[in-house]
Amino acid sequence: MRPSAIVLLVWTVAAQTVDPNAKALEDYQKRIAEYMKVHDKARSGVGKLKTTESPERIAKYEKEMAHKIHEAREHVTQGNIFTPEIAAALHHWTDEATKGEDKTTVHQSLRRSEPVVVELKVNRAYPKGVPLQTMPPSLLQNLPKLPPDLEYRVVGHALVLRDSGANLIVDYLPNLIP
Amino acid sequence: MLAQDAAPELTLPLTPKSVRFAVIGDFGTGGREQYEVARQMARFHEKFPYDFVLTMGDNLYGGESTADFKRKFEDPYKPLLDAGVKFFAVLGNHDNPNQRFYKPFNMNGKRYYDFRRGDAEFFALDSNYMDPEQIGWLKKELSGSDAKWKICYFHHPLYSHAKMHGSDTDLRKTLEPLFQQYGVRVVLSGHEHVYERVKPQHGIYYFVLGNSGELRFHDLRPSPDTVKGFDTDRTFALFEIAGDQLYFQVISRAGATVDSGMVPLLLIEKSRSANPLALEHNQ
Repeated sequence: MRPSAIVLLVWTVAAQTVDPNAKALEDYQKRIAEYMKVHDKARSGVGKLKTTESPERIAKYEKEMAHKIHEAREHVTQGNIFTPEIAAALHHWTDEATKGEDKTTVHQSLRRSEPVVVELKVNRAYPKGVPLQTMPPSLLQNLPKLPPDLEYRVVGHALVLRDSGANLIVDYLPNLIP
Repeated sequence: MLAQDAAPELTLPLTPKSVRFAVIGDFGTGGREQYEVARQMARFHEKFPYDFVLTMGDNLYGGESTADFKRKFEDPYKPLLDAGVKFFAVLGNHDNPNQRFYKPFNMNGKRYYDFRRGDAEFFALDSNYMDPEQIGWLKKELSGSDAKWKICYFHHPLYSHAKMHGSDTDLRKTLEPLFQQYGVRVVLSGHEHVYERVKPQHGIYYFVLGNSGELRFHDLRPSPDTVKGFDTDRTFALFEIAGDQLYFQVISRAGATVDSGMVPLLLIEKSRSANPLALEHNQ
């Protein structure tokens, strides 16, 4: 084999092994980190929630956190974190779970997990009293890791990024879940 | 005389120094039926003084204000709480995850945790959100545990023959291999608003109890894998671990025994047969 052919082969193999979503993942992690700065700043003002006998204290913490984060992100809209590029990557990662070898159990799990329908609005509270739909483990394994105060949730066909401490919808991506 | 006024009939052995606990699931309605189950729990506690209660989630339906916590948890279980009985909760899909900061639920701010009592270690899991971090934690804790009895409990059942939801197969695929590998003997869940005991799977005994407040009348489908089912009233369960035996008794809102039996300790390590040891039970 000629040297130029070897170079071409190595370049082709290397190109194939580079994750096409790496850039989107990097941008996603950056946006999550930016959000967490807002979250942490809010928490430094509210104070850390400790275990308490008072449900009122828990509700107050949630409300104050939501208020401070809402104020700091007053003008954000849907797509503030799930940009088109990140959305495309999320479709790819989700497809691996919902169309790959785990598809049967993932779909079954989604169907049986008490699906919910709620109106989604970024920077608004997840409606109180509405159940949180269960996330299939195989789906969670394919999605990028989040900091402890953030979580993924499924609402209908949408993927929701939720701040669990503040009970806030940080962003959502419609029509991600089949 | 009302059936619930009859003297509690205990089928458990009451062995000295045994580990004793109760189980409730899907209970936080604040309705009359929840209070009646709670009253039975208090009556049985006088005869069978259990130290703690495991909750299978859906601890509070609807609102979670201070008044809700009072009406749906503190008031119905006041006699037990006053007697020093501790509740160890897990989260259901109806629960705000911030319930983990509510001290009487003993979750210490954690979505998943474990604790030890005598020969038994209890692993409380968050089946709403079984992410890789939780799976890694469970694997580490199970592998490091030298408890004779390993008991896992969480909201969503791995096996269920109720019409409303059914088995969570993705969760089963994730968790059951770990349970088998590390010798988990008993798994408790809720979510379905019925009681069901499933034929042991891979040596693991599965109980579904999600009718301590809510009820889905006649929701169970007949299945050869159901050893015992009850879907016409609310229930709670009592458990007693004495050496190599785990005894159970499931009791209805009226105080009647719905199911009872004994689970022997798994003696055949890593058995893959469907039922390596016979279950003694009263049908």
